[in-house]
Formats: sequence, structure tokens, C-alpha cells
Amino acid sequence: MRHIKPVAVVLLVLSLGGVGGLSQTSQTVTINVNQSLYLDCSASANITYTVTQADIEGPQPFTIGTWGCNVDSLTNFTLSADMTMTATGDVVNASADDFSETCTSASGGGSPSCGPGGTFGPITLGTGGNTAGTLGADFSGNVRLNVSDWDVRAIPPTRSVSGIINYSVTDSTP
Amino acid sequence: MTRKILVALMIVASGLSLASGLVAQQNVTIEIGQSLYLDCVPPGQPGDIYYVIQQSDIEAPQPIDIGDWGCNVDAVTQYRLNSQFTLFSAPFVVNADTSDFTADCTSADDYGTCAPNSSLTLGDVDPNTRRGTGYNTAGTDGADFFGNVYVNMGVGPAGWDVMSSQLPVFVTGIITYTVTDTTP
Repeated sequence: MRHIKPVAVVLLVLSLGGVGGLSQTSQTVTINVNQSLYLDCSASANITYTVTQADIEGPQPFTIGTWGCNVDSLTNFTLSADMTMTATGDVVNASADDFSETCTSASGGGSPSCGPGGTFGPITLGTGGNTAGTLGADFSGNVRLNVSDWDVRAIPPTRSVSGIINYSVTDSTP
Repeated sequence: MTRKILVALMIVASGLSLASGLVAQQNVTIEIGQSLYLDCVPPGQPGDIYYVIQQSDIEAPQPIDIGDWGCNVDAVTQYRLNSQFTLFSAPFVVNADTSDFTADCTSADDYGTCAPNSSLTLGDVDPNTRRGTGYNTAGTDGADFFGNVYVNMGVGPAGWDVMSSQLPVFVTGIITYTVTDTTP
């Protein structure tokens, strides 16, 4: 009778990269963010408005147009506006604080919300946060005018008042 | 052979300062083609005057009240309100003239003020023909001015001399109201 001698088989598993003898390479990734805020107020068309008798008789202020802005953001932000008058010589007492804006809608990404608005300036129109993955935060509202203290110079010629509303978005991250 | 990959995530903000933002602009132009609106026959206010002279009018102290006037002014400027005859006809009444007629202002609201002058004489000038003054009325329904129109048929040789052969005779005219910007 032949005896079969058991043979112990020892399996040695050598783990490459284990303690001692490890070989490594690395890959560095750099993300460059040049701009954390993008503002598009192309929905704020230029306003040319003719004051009518009904505007004079009606409650002050009255609406003369609309504004709208879109914000793409990687940060918390504040949307603001201010107005600079460029021509007021035809009307005594005309000034930027005769104009005002309200925010009536804030939607989209980043949990946007309307600000208080008010007479210029500057005024806060809205706030929001990171909008990544969406088309951005959309804000819109009305532009209004109060002519209660105006004293228009003799007509003809037709008199006018003009100015520029500047919209700005700033990082509000603490 | 297993390779470990080291990933380093860095966010570098460059260019714009985090303290400043982006700016967009919107141009605004307000045109005012008319700074004064005058309505002298608004609802509820007097219109044309048609008056028949009675015996009691002849006996009464002169001048006599023959009717009312009223105007509403909407304004975004300071102004004055004037009125006077611009047309007159009295072919069968000798000595009748626009200077026989006068007007007063008895009330004005919404920053309007009555003037004390009373002339309606054709060709006369401000301030004689001034009925009132006022300022910007924005936010209100406008300044309302009211008053009376009088006629003095005179007394003695200089008074009215009606051609009785032409009865009934008519003295007619048009009172024109004007509002003028007085901004310096």
C-alpha cells in the first residue's frame, strides 16, 4: 500500500504596492475659475417714454418700462442698480431719485429672491447663490417715474430728461 | 501593477476681484411734448353762457352776474391762467364793448391760486387778464379754477344804447382761456 504524503501548498500572495517596495505616479488636476459671476441684462431694453396727461393726473410714481437680468454664479451674489443722469437741463428739479425700480420676479437656480428695490440709488434688486446646473437666476421688474416736483421749461421745443441705469452683480460671500 | 493617482483640486480665482462685480447698462429717455393741459368745459363745470337781460337786471347794481366759468389745469410746470375776449359783436347796441365785461376767480385747488385781476377786455394783457396761477399738479386730478362773469351795462350817456327797432338784439363774443408756462 502506497502512502501518499500530503503536500502542503503554501500560497504566497504577493501584493504589489504593499508595505515596502511601493511604486507610485501622480497626476495633478488644476481647475481655473477666472470669473465666478456672469451678468446678462440684455432683457433690459432701452426706454424711451413720453409723459402723457394721464400720467400727470395718475398716482405717482408710474411705470415707464421694465428691466430683466440673468445671473450665472458660482458664489453668493447681490444684484444692484443705480442711475446716472446725463441730461436734465430741460426740467428743473429732475434727478435720479425721481426714478425707481421694483423687483417682481426672481426664478431659476441658486434660490434667488427679490430685493427691496426703491428710488435710486444704489438699490438692491435681488440676491441668490450658486446656479450651476441651471440656466441661471432670472430677475425682472418695473422701472418707475415720479414727476411731482418737476418744473418743465417752456414748450416748444419738446423737452427731455435722460439717464443711464447701471446694473451690477457682486459677490456677497462672507 | 497598481498605480495610485493623486488628485489635487484647486480653485484659483483670478482676473476679477471677488469684491467687485459685472455691470450692464440700460438707457432711459423721458420726453415731455406737453407740460400743460387745459380743459375749460370739463364734466360738472360751466359751459357757454346764454343770458337774457331782465328788467330786474337793469334795476340792479352794476355789474350783474351773467354766468360762471371753470377750468381744469394739469401741469408739470408752474403756470398762469388768463382769459379775455378774442371776438366780440354788438351791432345794435351802441357803446357795448368788451370792457363792459369782467370776471373774477372765487376758488382754486391742488396748488392753484386765484388772481385778483378781472379784465376780459379784448387786447388787454397779463396781469390784468390773469385769473390764477399754479404749480405741478402730478398725482392729482389737476387744479380746478372757478369764477363768475359779469356785465356792466353802464349808466348815463356812456352806457348801453340799444337800438329798439332791432329787437331782439344780441351781444355776442368768445372768451378764450389760455395757460402759460411761467418757469424762469
